[in-house]
Amino acid sequence: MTHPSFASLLDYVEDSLPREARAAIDEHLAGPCSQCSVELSRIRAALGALANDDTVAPPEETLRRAVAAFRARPAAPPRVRIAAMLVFDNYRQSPLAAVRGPAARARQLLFTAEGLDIDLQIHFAEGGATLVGQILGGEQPSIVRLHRAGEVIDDVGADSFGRFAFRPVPLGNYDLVIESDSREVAIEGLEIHDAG
Amino acid sequence: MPPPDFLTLADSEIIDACLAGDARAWEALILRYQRLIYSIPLRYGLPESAADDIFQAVWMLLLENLARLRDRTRLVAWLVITTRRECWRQARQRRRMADGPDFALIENLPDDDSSLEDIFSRLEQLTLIRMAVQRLDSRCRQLITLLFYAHPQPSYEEIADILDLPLGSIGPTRARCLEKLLGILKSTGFE
Ligand SMILES: [Zn+2]
Repeated sequence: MTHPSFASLLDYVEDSLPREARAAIDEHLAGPCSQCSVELSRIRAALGALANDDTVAPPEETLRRAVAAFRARPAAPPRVRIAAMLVFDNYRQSPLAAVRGPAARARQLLFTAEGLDIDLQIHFAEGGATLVGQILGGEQPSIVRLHRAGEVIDDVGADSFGRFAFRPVPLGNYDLVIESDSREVAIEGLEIHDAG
Repeated sequence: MPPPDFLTLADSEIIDACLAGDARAWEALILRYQRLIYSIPLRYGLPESAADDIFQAVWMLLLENLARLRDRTRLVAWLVITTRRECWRQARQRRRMADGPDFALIENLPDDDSSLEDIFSRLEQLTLIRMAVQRLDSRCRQLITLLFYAHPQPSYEEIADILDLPLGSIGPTRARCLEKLLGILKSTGFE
């Protein structure tokens, strides 16, 4: 099927087609041709909007002030870094936890830092571990970054409940840093080793 | 004017450039949405002095919140909601101070009225079209601007003169430029 050209559809919308040409397009549309019908309504909407644009531009001075605000913006205050304290470790709580077999291979840790609690679970698997956690309290949203030897190796966003999870990571020593707008809370020297 | 490459960037990319400290990106963002933001208080019937204050307040709020905008692809929606909130806030504030008649209108407008929602979705549509016009090649951009956005509207003779085009080619050029414009609009999801 040959569709009418854009110019014909435009003329159709603007009612500047000779009678026979108009009838031919009517017939084509009655086909039906949904593609041309959609195109026609888009042309109508665009022309209508173009012809009736009554938006108002702000005065030059108003515009200039808003543009200038960018250079005058206060520099973001440096983020405060707070070290989190370990308050619970199921491996330490019960020395047998590590040798109870596969069902008990998850390590549970709870850290705390000024108004913030971080619940961490480390699940061990072949050659690595997954890290699942939840941030309780504190400002949202947060980004959680996993550092190893001074480099960020992965980062994830916490969901609206403060939960986050990392892909399996190799065993090793990590720093886990929870960043929000004004501060970062760091769990330093997190040892991800299967104690078994 | 910011360099033309900002015209084709998505809002999220311009926001990234702003966060990286690029002042031209900030200007591009303001130029993109200046009419949308300035027109909302005027639609509410607020005077220009209030529209000026609201305009500044909205951009300051955006500047403060740029880093934590949750969904950058919906910047337009954020701007509209923030501007409407500012309109209400400033109207209340001024009413307390001066009790002028200026703000009677806004207080009589039901904010959940569907006709009011139509006004805002139409403003977004007009914004989308202006953005598309900015992305046209310079000849088409000039022609469309003269044909639709110039007040008072110049005649075809005057346009032919300004663009140095034969009078007879204005019609066909207009059709070609509108075709390009509709192509851009189609790609941005305009319906
Ligand atoms: Zn067709």
